[in-house]
Amino acid sequence: MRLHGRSHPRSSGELRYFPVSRRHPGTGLEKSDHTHGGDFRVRLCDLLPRRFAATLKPSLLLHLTGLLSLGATMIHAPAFGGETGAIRGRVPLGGAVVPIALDKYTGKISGRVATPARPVAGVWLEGPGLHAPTVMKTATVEQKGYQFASGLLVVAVGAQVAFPNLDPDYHNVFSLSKAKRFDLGRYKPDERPAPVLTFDKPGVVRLLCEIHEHMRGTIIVVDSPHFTRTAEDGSFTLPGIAPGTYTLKAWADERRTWEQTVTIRRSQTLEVNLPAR
Amino acid sequence: MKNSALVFFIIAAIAPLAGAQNGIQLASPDGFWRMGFRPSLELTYWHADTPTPGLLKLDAPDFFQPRLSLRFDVAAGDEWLVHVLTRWDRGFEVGLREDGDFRVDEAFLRWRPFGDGKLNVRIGKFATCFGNWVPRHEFWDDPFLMPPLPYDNLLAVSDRSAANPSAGTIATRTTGKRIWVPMVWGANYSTGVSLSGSSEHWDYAAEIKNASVASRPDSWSPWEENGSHPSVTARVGYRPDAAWAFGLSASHGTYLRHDAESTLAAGAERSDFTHTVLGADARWSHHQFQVLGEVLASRSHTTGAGDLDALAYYLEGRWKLNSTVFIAGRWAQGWNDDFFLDGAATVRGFTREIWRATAAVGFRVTENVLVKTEYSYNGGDANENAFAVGLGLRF
Repeated sequence: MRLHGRSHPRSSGELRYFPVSRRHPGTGLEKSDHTHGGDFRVRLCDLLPRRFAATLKPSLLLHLTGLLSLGATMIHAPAFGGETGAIRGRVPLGGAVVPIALDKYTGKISGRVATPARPVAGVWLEGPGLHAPTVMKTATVEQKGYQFASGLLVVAVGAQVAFPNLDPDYHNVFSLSKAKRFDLGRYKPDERPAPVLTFDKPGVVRLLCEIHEHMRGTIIVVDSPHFTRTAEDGSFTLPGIAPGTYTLKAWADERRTWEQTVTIRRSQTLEVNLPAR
Repeated sequence: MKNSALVFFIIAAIAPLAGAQNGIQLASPDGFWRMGFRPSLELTYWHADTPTPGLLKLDAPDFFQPRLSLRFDVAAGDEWLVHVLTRWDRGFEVGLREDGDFRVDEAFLRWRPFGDGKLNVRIGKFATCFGNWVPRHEFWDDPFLMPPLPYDNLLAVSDRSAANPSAGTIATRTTGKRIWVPMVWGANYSTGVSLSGSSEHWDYAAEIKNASVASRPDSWSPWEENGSHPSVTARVGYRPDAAWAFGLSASHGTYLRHDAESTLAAGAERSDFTHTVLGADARWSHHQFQVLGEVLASRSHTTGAGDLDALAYYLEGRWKLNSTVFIAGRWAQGWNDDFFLDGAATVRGFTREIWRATAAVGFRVTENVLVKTEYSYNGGDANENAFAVGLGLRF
């Protein structure tokens, strides 16, 4: 899958600021919105003076934070500059294994089955006032080498996605996910225009091919201007975020999802390393 | 009533398990070794006139057929693959073994010397390469529950007795169902070796196996038929583009079982009982439409009645109304030879002429839950109704 559309946020002027108000009544510590666990964690950067925290070496801060928290580690560091902040971090990717291309019968696959794309995760930010941008380019999910060219795509609500078939044989992409049910039918490789769908509901859309059972793909549809796909090592960056408190979400597969409250400060980069699942 | 409630309870309990599962997939860190395990369950209720049509072997009009399938794959790189498919149900032919039947339907080793589909070498027990129905015969691929007519309509040819047909046996249809064979018996998971491959426009396959394509499931095991009378099957396919596909198939082999040797007349041999089938198939599909057809002609040599010829064809179409619902229809006709016994007057085969009309509707509830229902009517020399509804769950 190749994303032609933007994955960068709109300008900070379009975002609204929401003050932090999620303090635990007994301790005064901020509550972490982990989906799994829901415990209270101390954010080291919140206990230190902001200027001091910002000048600490990220590695030292990471180490100290790790002593206090078994969950995600978050570090504030100088951001790229400007009125906005950023999030940089890493999602611990596991070795997701795709099904074996069994290909028991002739006539369905006439070439070599490509090695499936390495697993990546989708990362996005949610919060009051954050909505999908209104203007987006069309993203593309290619079927090539009898695989979805990349296993995962993140798009904003309302995005259009094209599904070109680049193999000599038919593909029949479909999804029965709640966020989007569709069946593209059988499309020839040279058929133009390639089928295009609009994804108008947030959620996870699992892609399958009716003809090639081993093919697996995912589209994460988010109602946010801040989203990205991790690199193969799990690293990601979300730049250009207006100061405020948001929920950082990550999705690697059905069993490994993350949800984390984050506070973005002006001109700072928050480092978030999500815990292994 | 009690059993129905129990079945309903079991289905309700296990259906949620068929969520977004893909079985179990494991791989070595470098991805060279991969393993997959996936169970599926199909629960089908049959209601049919008796004697039942085709390969249905029901003693009563109503029958519940559960089928638990376990698929196990191990791959080493792109070159080597082991595939095992085991099933537990109440008979490969529905109703044959009411008390339950565990089988290894497929178990083969595949070697791809070039790492792609150009050349596959397979050894073991696997489905035949004949025709264009076998590649889509499984519950999740076929919109229907009953095989097409050429793959389940019985000819008056027995693999259990060299003396058949005789005036006595052809008149008894109920007993005939236990001894006769069709042109091609279902997906025919017999045992042997095959070479096959695909390029952009051409497909080919050739196999030599231990039993004829008409042989019954009891003959497919290497321990049952040792390959002393092998059967040869070949197919060539041409696809001018993705929408169209054409194929020619042929098979020739001995259909008489080894345990029928005692019924051979003096001077006769098993190899005299040959079964030859020729087939031509075509497929066209575009977007939500799919149309397929196949015509088969067979000749079975008997010592009692000479060569018995049969011809059958089917034409089917499927249309997906949306992502959930599809409808399908199939029309089939078959003709079996009249034959003569000892120079007497013509004796009619039990279904000299038959036609079958089938309508089906399917509901894809989720990617791992599928409901199919079908009604079929056999006309011509037969007058039979069959209704079935099936629920498929993958885990």
